[in-house]
Amino acid sequence: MTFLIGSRALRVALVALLWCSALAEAVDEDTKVLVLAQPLARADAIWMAQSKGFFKAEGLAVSVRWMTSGADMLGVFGQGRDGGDFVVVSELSAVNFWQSVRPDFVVIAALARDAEGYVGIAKAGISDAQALGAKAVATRLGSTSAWLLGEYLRAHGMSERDVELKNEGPESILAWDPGAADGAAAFFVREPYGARALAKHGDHVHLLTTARGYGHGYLLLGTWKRYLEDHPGVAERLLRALDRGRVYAADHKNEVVEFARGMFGGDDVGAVEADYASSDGVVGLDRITFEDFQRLGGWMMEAGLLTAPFDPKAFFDPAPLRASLPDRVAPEFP
Amino acid sequence: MAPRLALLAATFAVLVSSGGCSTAIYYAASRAGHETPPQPRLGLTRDQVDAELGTPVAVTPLPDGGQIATYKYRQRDPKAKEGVKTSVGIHAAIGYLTQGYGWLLISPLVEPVLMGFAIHTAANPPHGEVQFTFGPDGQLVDYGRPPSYGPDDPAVEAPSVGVIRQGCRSYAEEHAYVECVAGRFAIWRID
Repeated sequence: MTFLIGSRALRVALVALLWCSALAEAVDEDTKVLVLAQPLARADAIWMAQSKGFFKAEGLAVSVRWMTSGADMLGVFGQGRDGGDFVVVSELSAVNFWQSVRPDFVVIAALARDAEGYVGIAKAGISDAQALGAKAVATRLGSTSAWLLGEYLRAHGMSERDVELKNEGPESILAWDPGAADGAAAFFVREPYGARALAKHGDHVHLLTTARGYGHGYLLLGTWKRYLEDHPGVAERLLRALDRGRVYAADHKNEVVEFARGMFGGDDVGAVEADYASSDGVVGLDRITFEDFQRLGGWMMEAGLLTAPFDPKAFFDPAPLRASLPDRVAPEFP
Repeated sequence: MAPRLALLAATFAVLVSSGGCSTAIYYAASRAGHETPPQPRLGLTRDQVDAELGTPVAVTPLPDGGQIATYKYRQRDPKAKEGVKTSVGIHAAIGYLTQGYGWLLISPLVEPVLMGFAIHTAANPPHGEVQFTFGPDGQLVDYGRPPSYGPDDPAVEAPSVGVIRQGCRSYAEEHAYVECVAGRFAIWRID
């Protein structure tokens, strides 16, 4: 009898031990997160959070699927469940995507922004916005450069109607003949094309303006509303890790450049260094972001890209940021 | 009649036992391997992909803690497909030119040569290489290696003229409508 009781007790103890170890294993296992992002130095907070183990420290197993084309990336993300948990996307693409899937998609933080990386390169002799009047101005229509050109013109009392826009990709600035009478008077492009054009065309061209004071190009962190509901706390942990990544990246340029070299290949790191220099890490939703998106919404409305006025309350969800990094949310955000 | 039937049966037996051998080898070789590079489902673990494709021939660590694994895979061999046609064609020609008797006399002599070629083809299939990117958690994240670095200035698609006009119809007053359309046309460089 004693033997029987002892045997039962042993079995119960064994089962309890197995159950406990299984539970411990489940607790130890990091939450898997898939992020879709473009290979840009503006995403250096992600790079450093990955390589320095900041995600891991938050109990997250983050994998990033790097994709060159923003449109392809949003196509994959739009597939839903298996398409990725978070997406890192530019401001125009984000608003456009949000409009197409609203109200399911929300932006939870601006990761980084860049004003110096968007430039207007003009022929020698074109010294201000007024000098562009009635002249050909080349840019990629529908891009961040085109939006910032619009802001530049409006800031000087003009609009796209006062110039003759030409739809040109940024690389065509290198084939530009600034001396041609019928050619473009200026190009509005994203770096490094501006710097390359200055180097190639020499005294025939000059830097007319950067986007500083007119707006910024952004990298935003977006996700599905249902993901936030189904995975409480994950976005908060992700944001905390990203903020550590942002701080680390700001102090360790060489490691950022080395990450780009190792991850994306190529020996020419000039573009990475230029992007790194002109980008500002944010990981927040501050007043500048709010103002930039008010302007962006206005321009997109004017361009016929929005069917209803831009609504920051529906586009941004500051709740995860407020819970994890409360000082990063400006009062303008609801 | 009976000798003719016996001849046909014998011919059939010879073809099956010898003449069809090279054809069968070529056929099997033509069906083996991947017609397109293999694409395991995203999210599989390295072990699961290894089980499907074998051990990778190279593994390169990535700075994010992930890795690029290069796998060698057997490609579908177009030469084997051609071999089926050639082998059948040769035996058919022998039969046609000799009114069937060649299948008994010539085919068994030719077949060892054809079989040698068939075995050589089957044993030396073309191979391709395919790369996959695994994340730090060991799951398949993407096909190929990470893209090269590139600042992108993505553009959103222009709305159609119809959508532009429709969007401006909210302006009841004609002048405002015209201004709205003209402004949008200017932004998208529509004449």
